[in-house]
Amino acid sequence: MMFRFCDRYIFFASVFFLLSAAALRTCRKRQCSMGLKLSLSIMYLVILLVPIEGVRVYVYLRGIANGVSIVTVSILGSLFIREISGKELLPAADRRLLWCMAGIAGLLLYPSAIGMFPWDMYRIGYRPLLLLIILLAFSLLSWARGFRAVALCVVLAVAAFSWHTMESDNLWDYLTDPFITIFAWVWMIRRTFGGIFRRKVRGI
Amino acid sequence: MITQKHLPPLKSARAWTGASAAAFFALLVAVFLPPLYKGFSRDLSWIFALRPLPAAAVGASPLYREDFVQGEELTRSVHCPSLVDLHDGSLLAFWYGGTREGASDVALYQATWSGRDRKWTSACPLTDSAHARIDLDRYIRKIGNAVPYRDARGRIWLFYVTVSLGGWSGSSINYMVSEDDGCTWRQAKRLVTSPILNMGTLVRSAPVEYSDGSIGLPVYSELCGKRGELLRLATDGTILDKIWITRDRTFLQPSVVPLDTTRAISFLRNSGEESRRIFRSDSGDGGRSWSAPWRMTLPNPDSAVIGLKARDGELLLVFNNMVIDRDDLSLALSTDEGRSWKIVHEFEKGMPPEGEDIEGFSYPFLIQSDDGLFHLLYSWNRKRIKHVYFNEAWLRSMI
Repeated sequence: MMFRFCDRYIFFASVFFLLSAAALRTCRKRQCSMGLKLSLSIMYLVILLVPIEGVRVYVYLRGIANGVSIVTVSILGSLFIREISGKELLPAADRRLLWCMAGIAGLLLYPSAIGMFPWDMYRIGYRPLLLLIILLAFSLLSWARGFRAVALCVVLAVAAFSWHTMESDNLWDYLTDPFITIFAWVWMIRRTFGGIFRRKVRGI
Repeated sequence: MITQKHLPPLKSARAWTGASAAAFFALLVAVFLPPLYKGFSRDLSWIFALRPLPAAAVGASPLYREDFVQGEELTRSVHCPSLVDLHDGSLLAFWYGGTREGASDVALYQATWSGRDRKWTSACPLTDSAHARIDLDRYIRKIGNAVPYRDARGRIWLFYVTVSLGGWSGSSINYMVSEDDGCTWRQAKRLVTSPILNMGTLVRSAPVEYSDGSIGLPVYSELCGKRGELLRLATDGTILDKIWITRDRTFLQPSVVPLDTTRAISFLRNSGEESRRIFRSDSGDGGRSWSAPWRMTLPNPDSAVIGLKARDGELLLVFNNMVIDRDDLSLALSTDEGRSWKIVHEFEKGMPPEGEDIEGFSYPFLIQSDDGLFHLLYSWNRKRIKHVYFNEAWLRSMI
């Protein structure tokens, strides 16, 4: 199968999208030309492939980060496209729903992985019948409610799992990873407590 | 004033919405149906495969021999030996060596023991962090424990630990497969066993075989406490399931010993301060669930133990028969499925020779080969790999 074990490409694309999107965002604020935007993206592409003591930068990063989920690479890809072309593939409402889902999934998954719960949530990802049924229902509901980008993200993750696109045999690894979880938690905390904090400051 | 918002949707817009919904449903069916079907139809069989008894055990008279795997010291430090028997009565041994445990120059070594002339070939390096980095396309800082396994098709699997970040709690498990008894190895692949950067899982004890040819790989997690686990692997290396053997945070390096097709014991190293004893956990359903660990009478100075069921039913256990140090290595035998134990032999007793650093005798690995011989490898003072082999007649003479 041509899609099997594409982890290295998925990880490379994620890091490239992240770095480029961040740089392009700065460019957008300073109203830079398209030529400069493209040059910056190419520069990051080269940096990731440059070997340091015989090891490419992205190989170092992959050793530390292990990998990213399909949902993460989809979000980063959509951010990159938005910054380079101005086309919004992942509307803000869809992004908010994804952060909420990633945050909740992380709350269930990671504490159980370090033994804080008496059951292993990660285990159900190896034989994911229940998880697939939940995701199918979630995709249908998201589509019906107009969160089409979210529904497509989930479908893409399940398709990648089905084709064994990554090293992992566990559906959880296609849906979430520690990076999106931490980001989602920070976003949720800021959203929940940021307003309260601002109101208190105003009250003072 | 009528705004665009209040206008009825155009026919073409309605048609577009309908078409996109139909396309999405078709996509859902195409994407979800295959894994759902697979999930409904796949039911794992939790039956252990028990290998047939050898036609005749080697020698009617007692046989007990000792030697060292390496003729000369290739590296300053060696540790965690393991071995697997080949079809012709030969053995394939693996261990890691370097300047010290966890150093970046540590490599995995391999040596062969010829069953015919009963001698070891000189050791050769199999893989190191640089080689693993190329194989796995990611930065690898150090290499650790390795465990081999011969499957029903005769392929040799080698599961080994690598670390990219941090100490042993940052470990991941990888495997290589050889179809020619260890002469050549396929490119290494990684097992993803943890959602947290795939960190914290190590391997140390021999895998067990299931009746459908799949592999039960005893592993342990060192991420935020220690926990014994059992990975169920398909014949293509896919992880089918992962079972927690223990939930407590002080048990590691499970040595899983099937008693029959459904019952098994897992002997556990105990790293807790509370009780310096070997613990065990039992399964009555092929390893799908495990009892809470319970304390055995045998001591354990927080060191690895290895269990084995002999072909004629006795249970053997090699362990450090001490509470604190690893200066003793003993063999215990049980004829009542582990309810009571008798120490039948001391492989090592006392201190290493003068002038040597005291590292003790540790990480025993015991197998019974197809010809009935028992082979034990262990780390001898972390300087050498010692090999002890004996037959059933010798074992009986010690009871």
